[in-house]
Amino acid sequence: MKKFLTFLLTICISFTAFAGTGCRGAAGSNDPNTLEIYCYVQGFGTQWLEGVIDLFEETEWVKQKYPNLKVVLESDSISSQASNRLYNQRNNYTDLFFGSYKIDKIDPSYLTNLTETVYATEVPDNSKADGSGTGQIIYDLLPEAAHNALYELDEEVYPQMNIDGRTYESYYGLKYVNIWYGWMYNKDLFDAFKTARGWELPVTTEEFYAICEDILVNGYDVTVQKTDHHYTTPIMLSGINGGYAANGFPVYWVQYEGIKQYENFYNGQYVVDGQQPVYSEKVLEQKGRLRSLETIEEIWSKYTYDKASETDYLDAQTKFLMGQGLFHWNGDYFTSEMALTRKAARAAGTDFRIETFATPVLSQLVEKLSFYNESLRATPECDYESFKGAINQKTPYKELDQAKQTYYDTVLAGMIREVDAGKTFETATKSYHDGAVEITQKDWDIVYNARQVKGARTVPTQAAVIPESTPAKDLAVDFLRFMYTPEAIEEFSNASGGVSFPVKYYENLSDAEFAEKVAKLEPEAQTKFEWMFRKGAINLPANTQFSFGKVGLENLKGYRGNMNQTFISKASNRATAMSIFKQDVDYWRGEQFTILLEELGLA
Amino acid sequence: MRKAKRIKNSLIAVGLSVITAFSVTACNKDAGGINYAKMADVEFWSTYASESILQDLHGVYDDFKNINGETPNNPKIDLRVVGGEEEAAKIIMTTGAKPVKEFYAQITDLTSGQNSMSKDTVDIYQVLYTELGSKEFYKYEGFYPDGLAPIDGTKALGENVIPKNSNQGIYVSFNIPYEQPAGVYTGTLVISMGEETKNVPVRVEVLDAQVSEETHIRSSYSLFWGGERGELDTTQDMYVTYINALKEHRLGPSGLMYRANRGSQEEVDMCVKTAIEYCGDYDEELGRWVTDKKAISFGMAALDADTVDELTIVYSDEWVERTGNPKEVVLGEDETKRVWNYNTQSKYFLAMFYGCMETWDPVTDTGIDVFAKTFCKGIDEPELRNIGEYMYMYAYSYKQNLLKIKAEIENDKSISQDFKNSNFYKQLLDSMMKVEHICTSTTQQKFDDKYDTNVMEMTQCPHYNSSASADARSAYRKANSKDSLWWYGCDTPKAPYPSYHLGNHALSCRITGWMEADYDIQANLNWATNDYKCENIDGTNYMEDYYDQAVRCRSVPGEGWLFYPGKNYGVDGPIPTMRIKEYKNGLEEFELIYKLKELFAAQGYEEDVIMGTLYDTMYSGTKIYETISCEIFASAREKLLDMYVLATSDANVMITDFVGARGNSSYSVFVADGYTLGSSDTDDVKVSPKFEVTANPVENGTLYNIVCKEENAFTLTLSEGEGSSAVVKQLSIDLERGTTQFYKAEDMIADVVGDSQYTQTTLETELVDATTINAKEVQIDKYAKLSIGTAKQDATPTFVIGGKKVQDINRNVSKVEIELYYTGTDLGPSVSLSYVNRYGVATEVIVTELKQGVNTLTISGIKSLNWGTIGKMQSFYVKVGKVNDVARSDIYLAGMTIYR
Repeated sequence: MKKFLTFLLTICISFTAFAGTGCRGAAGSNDPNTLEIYCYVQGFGTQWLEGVIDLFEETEWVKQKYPNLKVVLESDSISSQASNRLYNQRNNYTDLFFGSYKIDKIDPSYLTNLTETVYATEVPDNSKADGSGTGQIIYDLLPEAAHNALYELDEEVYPQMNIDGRTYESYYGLKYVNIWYGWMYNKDLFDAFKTARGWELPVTTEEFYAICEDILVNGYDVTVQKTDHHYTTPIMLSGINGGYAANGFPVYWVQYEGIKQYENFYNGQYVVDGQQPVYSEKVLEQKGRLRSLETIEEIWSKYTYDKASETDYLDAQTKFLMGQGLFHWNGDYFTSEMALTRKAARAAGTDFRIETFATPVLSQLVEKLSFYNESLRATPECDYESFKGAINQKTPYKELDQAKQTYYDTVLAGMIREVDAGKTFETATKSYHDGAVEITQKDWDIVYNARQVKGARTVPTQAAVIPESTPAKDLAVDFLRFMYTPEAIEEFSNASGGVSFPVKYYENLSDAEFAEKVAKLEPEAQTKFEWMFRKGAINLPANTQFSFGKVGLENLKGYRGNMNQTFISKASNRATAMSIFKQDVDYWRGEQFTILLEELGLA
Repeated sequence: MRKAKRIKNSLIAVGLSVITAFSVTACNKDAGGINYAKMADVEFWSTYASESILQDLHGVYDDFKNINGETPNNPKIDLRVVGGEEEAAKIIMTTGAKPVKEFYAQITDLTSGQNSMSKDTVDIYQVLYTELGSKEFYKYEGFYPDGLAPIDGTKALGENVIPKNSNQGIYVSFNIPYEQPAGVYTGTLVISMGEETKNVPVRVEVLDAQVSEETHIRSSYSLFWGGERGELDTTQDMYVTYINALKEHRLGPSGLMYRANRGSQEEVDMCVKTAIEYCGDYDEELGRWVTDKKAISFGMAALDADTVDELTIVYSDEWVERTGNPKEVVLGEDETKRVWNYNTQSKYFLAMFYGCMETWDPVTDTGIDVFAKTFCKGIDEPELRNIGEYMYMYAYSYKQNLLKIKAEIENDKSISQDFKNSNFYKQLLDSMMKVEHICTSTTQQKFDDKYDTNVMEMTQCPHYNSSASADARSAYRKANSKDSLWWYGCDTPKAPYPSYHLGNHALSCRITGWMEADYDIQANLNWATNDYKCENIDGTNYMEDYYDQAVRCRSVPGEGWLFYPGKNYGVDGPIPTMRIKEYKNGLEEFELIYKLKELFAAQGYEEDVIMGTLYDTMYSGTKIYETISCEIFASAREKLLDMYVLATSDANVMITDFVGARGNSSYSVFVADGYTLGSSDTDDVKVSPKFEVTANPVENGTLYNIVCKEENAFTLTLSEGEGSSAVVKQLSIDLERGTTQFYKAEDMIADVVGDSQYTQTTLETELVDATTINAKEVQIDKYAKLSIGTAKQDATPTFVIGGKKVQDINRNVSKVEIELYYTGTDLGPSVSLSYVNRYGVATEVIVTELKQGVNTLTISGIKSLNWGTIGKMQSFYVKVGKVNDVARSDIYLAGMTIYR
């Protein structure tokens, strides 16, 4: 009897134990009609997802296909949450992850292949009760940057797939957000003063500096909520957090070097015209990286709010909204973060129109143009030792006297304005300064390409994935497919206050359609969308999309500081653009780069 | 229980399993009419102990079965070992449609003539399995072998069952006594299933040699990350049990007690006691403390960091003169200054010193010197915690603290003059000053002129992959105060670098020991050996099942533990894993190689060439080949044993050189005076036309040079005395594995062209008689003269080797050798060789300077390349000389050898 009772008791305990571990717990569901979504919360919140979820639930074909649909959204700011759950699949109940960095790059055996389930399928037609396709294959809606972000080199792990007679790459993730960092300006204030001060929206950094100098010296007057202010702040920023100086780094770099060299960098490839491309740490010596640092250093150290080092990012953003500071550098977060503040400001009668404008092209770009005639420097000691053989030794632009700088910048600005006006090389002005400067096709191409870098537009590494083992796989797949419908795309942007989904959509609309679709957004988001989608701002791929980026080739690795704080600092011994650049070159020299080669199995 | 746990999502199914399992074990009678297997229904087979045979995977193991040449279902155990080694064999039982109700295994004594080896020296384990759902490191998901539970323990628990359609391993571990006489010992492993038994013949050949009892590589293996949870025991006794378990596996602990009351006097006293008892024993008979040569190393307690207001670094004169930097540097006001707290550091060091002093025996002037075995784990992964800038401050304060502690001891008048006059006192102080201050780092550290090792003390401990190249290791050693190099791994790096990760080939642990010997590594560090907790989704960290949780932290299976709690299985302390056993095996092989180095060095030779032929079969740098197998490893081990036995014998036989080129090999073999090689009538290498042998008298013996003309494998006989017919030893050498193919110049000439695409270098080739260029050339007729033209402006002259011979190179190629002959008299031009992958991008793999004569450019590690990414090698891109160099015609191509 005792043995039997022990046996029974043990079974009861075991049932309890197995109930806790073998099945999904109370927080999870095995129901294929319950879609459990996890979202990692970043600066732009989860409103975008909530809006899309609401729309999904209301869509007819969804209701018909999943009559007992229930969507549960869970979110937090734990960056490892998604990957932890994915690896612990026995305890995982989440059907769809909108995760943080690189979760689509984990072992693909944990994930559902999205090529065959999502990308190779058609966009559902939300107007049809059965949700049948529109005829548009989702794969073709991905912008090139998203393809690049999803692509993996190793064809043994990510083999190409043949579906319905067409070849696709194997993708396991879905890039669910575009990110933008760029310049905003107070248009009302700018317009109020531009005529009297001779301002034009700057297209080069020299023009930008000129306006900033003017403000520094002469300031401007503005009345806000019946209080008069005289402001001498060109650029409003936080020096504590926010600020995002480092996010501007790739912008000027790519303007100078071109997108191909940027990609070459993250592929570890040292590519010089006429030379065999080779994997080499010399990629760190791309001059554009130094020029970018110099540009950011000049802007941040000279023209930012003099109390930036004491000002929190929300405070800085508020000040900007209230008219202090003509310019502001920020990302997509700005609109949603300032929504309530703006509402209150408007209620109190302050409503400056803020718009996004294209990042001015760095003026040093003239160094690369054929008409840059500065002869070899008498003493060829260069900025940096390694440059001696690698780059030309003409006098850097910033070492010329002001008159010379203006001379060249006039040409550059003229060319850029013609690019903006839609000119081509054939129709553009070929000659400046009474024929002293002649523009070549190559010059035009360099300037044209630089002008396409209008902001830090990135398809980042955040991705959505579906775990391989989930009972609600069909539902999760349909949700992702739904995100590519026009209704969801627009809802994404509207609900998030101007964050965008990586898809070719806005660029394909007519002007009138576009205006109508973005009408609900704040002006800075509308103009941002214009630059991003209508005026063709190119994407700057995130480093981890590329082979060397994936295994750790990062910018500024040798510099562990905060660029914002560094360049705003008034300390005499602060790091400089050159010292940061050198630290980076030194960091990767030798064994460190070899380790990357070995990690990639190239050596 | 793991074996019944595969049904997860159905409560009813689980319940039935529970009922079934408990019915079988608790009530020991059939339930529901289960038809159990008889012995005839079970397949028995032998395999390598290192082989990971999954419990639930079938159809892929045919090549792994019956490794001793047995007929099916008649497994044997057959091992070759040296005295003092622990070596294991594995028998697998595979069920079909019927489960096994219960099984057991026991072994007889082993005998060899008059000698015997007790069965008590043999541990029989039941392999435990853990489920892995990932394919991250390996091909299959399923239940992987890991834990080793004593068979008596599993029997007592009723876990000695085998589900249907399962593989179940019996791991038989032989602990060979050090003084076991050489011989072939035989016995029987008896496997029983109910009333039926199966006899597995056991043959253990104990060779005439012993492995060192002492372990010459340190280690730091942590025992305090949740270790107390698994055992539900936080006593120091249990902690010491784990320390001793590590010691049995030739490993040392990173700390001496659980992290409780850190810094308290009680803790300090306990650390001193534990340290002394770890390093020695009190011998009642002798009446004094005796050092335990099996003590490996242990970590001092962690230091406390302080931020000070002022810090002046005073550099040494040597450093000032060398670097030209100032003698003193006063760190500025706005610089953060972090140092190690003197009070904490001195508390432990002084306590240790005085504790050691207590063990001093004035008669023999000996005592226990714990400092000789300890280290201080100071800085942990500074680059991840943004304290990289402070490393040199920590290193400075550590050393300065040591100097102060030393001064305090020297000024301590309570220490007797007798003791101060003793050698042991001097030894203690000397050892104390040499206690290493360890800095682990996940990324390659750069060394600048901040590290004056005269006044700073730091030993770098980089990741395995940061230490892959000779240059990297050399750089680390130079920067380290002791010219020593530690290394480690944790969740990264992952395979193909060494790792303890579950599901990675178990050989990865074992081969780590070989790498450590190869690269003269001083210590290996592991952050957690018994992490009996995990990162749960809900933020808690308890574990429900210590035996079936493959991923506990950092999303990597196996990361954090190498033991399991033993209490369930009747063991007071931990039970091992296959992984820690493999690592121990690797450390034993480390000791064999260590001894070989000493023996070679004693005769003025180096073992690295011949050992390199074994290393090359397993890894390149620190990457283990994807193609590694237990068979390949076993072959390498056999050769190591052969060489070890011969080298440690009176004949002191050592293969001092080996050259394998153009498909043929040559060996240099040293034999001590009084012995000769080769006298067998049938296998006399000296007279065989297949070999060319010369014998040269050298100091203490004879150096034989054997050139293999037709075959690369041979058997040498070793005779004692000149002309004696008694054969003492036979030496079989087959160090060339696989095939080699040599392409002569005339085979290649069509595919060697100038670089017209990038550098616009012209190249003309012409075949010439080889002997007119190289009078010593005897093997080939022609060289190809390379008339390399100039390159375009600002480019380096370059030629390209392409064609099918290059494009056919794949992952099965171990290395490629390209032979160039340089006729110049001065130091020749630099040559850089890159391979160009399918994307048209080059990876530079060789940079060298040509010297007069034959130059062999060797591309090795080809097996470890990622061929999924590379695709193929389109061509070799060879740059010669420097930018804008003039044309030249002093370089000849002799040929190319491809080793597969």
